[in-house]
Amino acid sequence: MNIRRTIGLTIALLVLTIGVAVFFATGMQSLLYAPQDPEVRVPATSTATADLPPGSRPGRLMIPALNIDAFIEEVGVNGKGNMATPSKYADVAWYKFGTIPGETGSAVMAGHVDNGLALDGVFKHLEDLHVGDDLYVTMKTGERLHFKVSDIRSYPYDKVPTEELFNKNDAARLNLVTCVGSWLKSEKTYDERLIVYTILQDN
Amino acid sequence: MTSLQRFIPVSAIALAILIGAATIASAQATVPSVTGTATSAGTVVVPGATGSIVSNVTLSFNQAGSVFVSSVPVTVTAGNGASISNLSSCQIFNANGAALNTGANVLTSVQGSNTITFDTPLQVTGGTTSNLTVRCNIAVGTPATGTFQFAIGTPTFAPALSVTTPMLTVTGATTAGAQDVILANILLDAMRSGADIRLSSLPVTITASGGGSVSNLSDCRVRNSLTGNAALNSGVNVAGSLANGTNTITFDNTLTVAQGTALLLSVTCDVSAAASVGSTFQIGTIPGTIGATAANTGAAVVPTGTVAGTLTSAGVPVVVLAATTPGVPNTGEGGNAPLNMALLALSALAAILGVSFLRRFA
Repeated sequence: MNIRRTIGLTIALLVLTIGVAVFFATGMQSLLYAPQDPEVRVPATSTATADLPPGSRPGRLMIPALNIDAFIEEVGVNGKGNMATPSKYADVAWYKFGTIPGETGSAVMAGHVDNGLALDGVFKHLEDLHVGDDLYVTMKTGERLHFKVSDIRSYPYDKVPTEELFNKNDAARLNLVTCVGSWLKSEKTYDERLIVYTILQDN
Repeated sequence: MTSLQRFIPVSAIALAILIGAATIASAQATVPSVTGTATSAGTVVVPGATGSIVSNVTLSFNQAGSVFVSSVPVTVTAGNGASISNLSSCQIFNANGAALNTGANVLTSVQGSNTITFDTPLQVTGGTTSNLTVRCNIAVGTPATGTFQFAIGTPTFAPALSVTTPMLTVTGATTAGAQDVILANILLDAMRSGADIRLSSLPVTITASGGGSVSNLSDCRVRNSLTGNAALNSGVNVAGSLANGTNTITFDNTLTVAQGTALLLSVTCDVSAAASVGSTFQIGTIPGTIGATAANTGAAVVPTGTVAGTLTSAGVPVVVLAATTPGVPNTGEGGNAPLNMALLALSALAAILGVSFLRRFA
């Protein structure tokens, strides 16, 4: 009788522990921390930003029209050669090996459209922006940069003009990226990417 | 590929490392030198005395770090009835009282101009002063009122070679299939050398990580920035296969680094098209393992790094990227919602079952 009771208690504890652990792990990854492909380690010395003082980096992104005021993470490249993504659904990610916001060239920031429970990510409503809407990037120095939306386009996820997105050097640009469209189960991604092109303003 | 078409002062290179290769040519250098000063010992001449202190000498180095001095020129004058020939068996002692020139290096016969050669090169460190004394035997017939004045000329540096791996022109990133990728820069610095330095080969350490293999590298060459980055090894001296660890690259001809100059070499390899994204290659050298000789004597010179003889100058890692421009990020997780919700429901159910079992068996 005692043996049966001991075995029963052990199994009950095991089931309870596994259930609680999986519940919290799934909840955390679905709601707060996005799953990440490991970033490729690119030596800091190879980048234009490697020797920048911390203040020269972007700190927060504000989009008044969408009530967005988000922390900016710095990301590089993942093992698939793609720009890495923010670790939190509420953050945006700046491609740190590219252009610094405010400099001539194309700075790129990405944000999640939704989380693991299909609830809103930071860029859920990015497609509601209009040409002429304002964006602000607060640098870690406290300097505030003003951008205006110049164009909004969506592309098939495998046909995004990455040269234009990352390397267009005709102005001080900030391009925002997120996912839109339908979920491709086999690819585990949405079938389109929305790009919001913005240009630095004088004021 | 940036080429350095002429010899470069080492401080210019150090500056360039800090602020970029483009400024190398315009940087001004301070020539490293050791200054010697001799002052009167203030002692009374004692005729017939042996090992009498006749002068105090200080040596100071005008740069950071240290330098090795092999010899010092010494000029001697005598006054008040004394003669230079009254001195013999002169030696220089360090602050601990150890003789620095013994045996054949003892200045047995003193002339107006002399050179005292140290048994082993004397290290002089910048920011400090090396305090030395000159001791000589004084002849019996020397007038007690006689005086001797010593002056120190410009000391001669010992043959030396310092090796570092500056990050100049190592971009840190490449793509699979790229050719002649600069994987390391190796600076051979003979600025503080008293002789030209010769090398016939260069041992390089190669490590691969991140899924890469040393076999992904081929056609590795050591290139000389002075000659338009011409390869120093060709034909049979280009290794068919490389080993993980140390590989010795033998030069076609002996390479000479002139004293008072620094020479920048680069190590380039082809990166296989089969190298996977994320492969990281790192090439460096261990200074103490480089076989170098002094051109004037043929004597071996042990190159030093930042940490003499033991530094593994690992160089800058170079990683293989899929492309120069990254792909677009994948910023959606919503499609996984059904799976995640199922996981949440099942795990919640398991927890509830666990609680009910606990109640039943408790």
